[in-house]
Amino acid sequence: MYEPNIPLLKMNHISKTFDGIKALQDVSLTAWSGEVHALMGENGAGKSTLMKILSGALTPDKGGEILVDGQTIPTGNTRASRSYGIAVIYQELSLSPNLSVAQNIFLGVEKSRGGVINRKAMLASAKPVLDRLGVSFEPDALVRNLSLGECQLVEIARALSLDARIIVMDEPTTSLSGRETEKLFEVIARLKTQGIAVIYISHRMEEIYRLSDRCTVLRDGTYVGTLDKNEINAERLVTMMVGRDISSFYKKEHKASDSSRDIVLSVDDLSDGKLVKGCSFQVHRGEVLGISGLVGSGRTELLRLIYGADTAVRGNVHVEGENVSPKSPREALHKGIVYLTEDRKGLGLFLDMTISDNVNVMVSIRDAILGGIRHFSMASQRTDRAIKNLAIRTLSIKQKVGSLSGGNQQKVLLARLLEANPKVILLDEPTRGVDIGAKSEIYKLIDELASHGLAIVVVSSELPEIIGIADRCLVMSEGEIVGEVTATSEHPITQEALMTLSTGLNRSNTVHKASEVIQENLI
Amino acid sequence: MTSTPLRDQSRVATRMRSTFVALGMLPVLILLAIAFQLMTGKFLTGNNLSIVMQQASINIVLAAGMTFVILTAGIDLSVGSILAASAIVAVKISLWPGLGLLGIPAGILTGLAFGLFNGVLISFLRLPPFIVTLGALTAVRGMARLMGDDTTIFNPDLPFAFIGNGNILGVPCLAIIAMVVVLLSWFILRATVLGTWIYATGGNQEAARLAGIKVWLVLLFAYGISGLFAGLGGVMSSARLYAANGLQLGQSNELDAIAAVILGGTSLVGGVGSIWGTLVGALIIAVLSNGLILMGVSDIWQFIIKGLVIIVAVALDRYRMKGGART
Amino acid sequence: MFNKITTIILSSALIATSGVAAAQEKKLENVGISVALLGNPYFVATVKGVTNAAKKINPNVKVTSVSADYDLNKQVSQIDNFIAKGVDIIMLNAVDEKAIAPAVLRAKNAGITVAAFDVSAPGAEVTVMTDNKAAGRKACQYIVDTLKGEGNVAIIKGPSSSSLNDRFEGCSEVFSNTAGINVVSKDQNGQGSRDGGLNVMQGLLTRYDNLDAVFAANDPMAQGAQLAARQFNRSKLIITGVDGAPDTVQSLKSGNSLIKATASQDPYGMSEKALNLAYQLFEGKEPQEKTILLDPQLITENNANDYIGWDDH
Repeated sequence: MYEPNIPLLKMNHISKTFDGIKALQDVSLTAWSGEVHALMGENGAGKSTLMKILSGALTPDKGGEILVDGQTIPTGNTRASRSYGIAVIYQELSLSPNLSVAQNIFLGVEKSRGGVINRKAMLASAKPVLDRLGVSFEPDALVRNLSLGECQLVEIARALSLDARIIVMDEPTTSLSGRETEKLFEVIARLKTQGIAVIYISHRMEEIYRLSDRCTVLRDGTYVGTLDKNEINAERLVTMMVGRDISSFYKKEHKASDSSRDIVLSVDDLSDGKLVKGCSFQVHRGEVLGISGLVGSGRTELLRLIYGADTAVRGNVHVEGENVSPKSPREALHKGIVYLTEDRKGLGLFLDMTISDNVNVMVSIRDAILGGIRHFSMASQRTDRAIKNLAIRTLSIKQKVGSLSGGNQQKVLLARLLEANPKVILLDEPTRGVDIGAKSEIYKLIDELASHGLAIVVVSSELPEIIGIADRCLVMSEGEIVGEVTATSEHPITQEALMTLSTGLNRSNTVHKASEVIQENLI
Repeated sequence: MTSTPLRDQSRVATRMRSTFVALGMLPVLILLAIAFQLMTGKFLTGNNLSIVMQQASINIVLAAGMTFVILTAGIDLSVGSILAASAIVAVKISLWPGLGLLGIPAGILTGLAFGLFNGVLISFLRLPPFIVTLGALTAVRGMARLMGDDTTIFNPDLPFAFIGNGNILGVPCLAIIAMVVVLLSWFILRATVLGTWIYATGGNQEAARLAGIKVWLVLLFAYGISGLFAGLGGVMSSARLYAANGLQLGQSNELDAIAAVILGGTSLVGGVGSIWGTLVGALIIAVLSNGLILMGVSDIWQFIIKGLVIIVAVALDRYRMKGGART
Repeated sequence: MFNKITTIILSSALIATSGVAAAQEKKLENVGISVALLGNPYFVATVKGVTNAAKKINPNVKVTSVSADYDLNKQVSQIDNFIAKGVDIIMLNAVDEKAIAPAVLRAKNAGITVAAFDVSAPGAEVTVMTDNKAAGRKACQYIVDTLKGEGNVAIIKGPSSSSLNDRFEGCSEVFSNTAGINVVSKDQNGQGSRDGGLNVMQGLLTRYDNLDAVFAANDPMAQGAQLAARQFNRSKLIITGVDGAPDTVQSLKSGNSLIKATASQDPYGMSEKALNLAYQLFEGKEPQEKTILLDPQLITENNANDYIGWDDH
């Protein structure tokens, strides 16, 4: 059955057109048994479309074909794709939290005897599948008690139970901790030895170096090239992805502030009575303050308290010396505080509304005629300015935000905040789910805003990002600020310093080397 | 390079698509009208069209209010009952000697009051709209019967009968009121800040709050205006019939209004839709009712056909929209 | 064995006699009324008829009136509530002349006298109702006579119920027995309301330019039809209805009414009569007649002034 000369998967001449717009143009992809094949490209490059065609969710245009073991398989049919051993693990997990691991593995193909679910048989047959992955949890554990990483492993186990031989993983590590990521990599290594082909989509260079045997790059829906393991390096990949050189990714042009500048934002003993336990800090004019810490350390919650999105039980917020302590986002806005949510689709944008409406929704009441009628020319001026200044790529200002790429969506959201003429900008994961090109533009924007004298607070899980853009960095752990690191021209902030502080190994500013540090050298 | 023609092509496609989406159900309405004309030969006469407009007008007014509510991802099941209560108040006050015209504002304000009551419960007490208005559906119906002494109140010399039966340059007053309501709704939704807030709140309530929008005001307004329009509908209805009955009037009108809004392409999830769609939706329902009577289709079959046409029309619409969805 | 049966018969006879004896002593204290729709002035008049008649028997009597809103389920639970409450007489205007049977039986088994009015109810001991077929016949005979036996007519029917169906039948009978009468439409439903009558009539008038007369199965629909005819300026059209409702009578008196005749019912007298018969049974007396069909009176412009309306009691 297994022929070493025939690739496990071959996708030939795949094109896909939506309403006359070519999303994919003659893309080919080959994956061998036991290979980890990375698929890279900016958001909107066509990775997802290609994978949807592979899974059968979309039908390719005429001329495209998919071969498994050298045999052409039917396209546009998820059932057929599955039966040929193709499985996709999506970013949004599709498990039922109140069922056991075994039940989730066999969801839809339950083992039953005369219509009655046979729990014992399911547990028994789940066990070997989980053993294949070398996981530590039991098949009768409830999924809601598992961590996100473990849930992902359950998804993989489900794929294996259906005899999957080609597993697609779409940014699997986005929300995983360092330890969980390691575990996933172990599992991927095991899958390799079992002859499974893994197609791995990620934005993180480090992962690509470590895992992939080969790497295919897409750009604007076209095939750019495939690199072998020894050819993969950051510069080359970035050049292939964006089609040009990015020499300096983080460029700090604004003058690092010093304590002599006046304080714009002052937070004093802020607490929500739950997670955030009495945080105090100041931000100076023209300063970029980073807040680092593990997921769940209370960073997002702290920003939401400052913005008035949640109610503080204790503490004060001052803007330029005036006590504001907002009770609602509306109040915060009036006092010059804006907040960029980490969940741009869920809590930020109105996806069905136009770019113009999204940019203006916060401020249009300020220039309304007779107190309520929209000032259309003002609105389009604002939108045009935003599109120009933030380089938002769009056909028209009437385009719906939902149809933009992640990076452009983020820019629209940023534009909305900037049009409110804020004094303080709170940014929560400003570059999450944003492609490399847009990332560098957002960094540039933050730098410019600081030059203009705004006080900026950036929460980020990406250490290189914090180090690259922040003048000073606070570290949070379990709802408290446990440390502060300031960059000087001789001594930039180091990842080790931040990790040591955030894992709570040392609660002073002394730098210790953390025993387990996942380096995320994003370029 | 190839990207320029590609972009032009896509731009044309986008424009065609948006025109098509904007047209919505209009083609269905036109097809129905042509079909009824071919089958009866009497549909497309000035007189009959004026009757269709008349019969559609009350539903248009109710559906306009419903559009606001559904755009905020809510629902208002109480409009039929509010219509009855307002009609009762309007006719009762019309019987006051010399002051009968006060029945008009009284009826409208009654509707507004009930609508605001719904709005307060929904926006301040955060109760689910479905439950609040379901309760109001029954409670307000009871109030209507109470206010009308549970009988038919009639006034053969209704001072504002011109609303229901008059014409201005051959156009029925009812239709003119309905058009004014549609234009006013369009203006609010399109040209005011409140309008954007309504779309934003319906699209994503939490995001709207974080964007500094007064969500409570939006909800209060939506249910208030739905009540106000239902009150206006009550006045129109009483003016048309010279009478009001707390129990019978407006029965299941809320369902017709919801059907019109949905036929018009407004999403029940909120945030998407337009008042023009609602107008077309309400006209489709009225054209169906009128056309089927003209054809002499029996009462029982009218029910079946109307229901099926609504389902088929919406199914076609969804199918069409789905074809354009990308990724 | 034989003995046992005799004992049972004897004892039940004993109970029966003692029951009659008790009834003669106890007063009429509680009367329950369930009507199809209290929103209709017609039923308001029936409630008045029952209440006044009962008050004449015992000034302290408690009369509970409820509306079933044309909902069978609702009416059945209303009857069950009356049984639980222990009323003496249930005055029943059935919303469904067949399906109400089990509820009536339960009431009878509980020793309650059930009297049906306006609509028959299976198992009711007393029935007083309008002869609805005659009502339909009279209203449509008027049309035939006025048209001199020739013309195009339409019937607006109502929601399916025995009384409205009987009127429809009576009318159809008259029309089909007259050769010169052409019935152009008879399957449109005016929902029994003004609103529905208006909508249906607008359609009919658009469809038929040569319509001469319309019969509506009740007065509200006739009123709606009149509003439509006015809009179309069809002042020659003849409309007749059934009920003799106050607004129709007022219309007839006005002199420019398109509604020319209505076969009137006497809701007040009907329910009054039903209660009196039920009371006789309650007392243990056997009334001479237990089912009475009241003959409707045709009201026209000529005799409208002499008519005693529903709300004149």
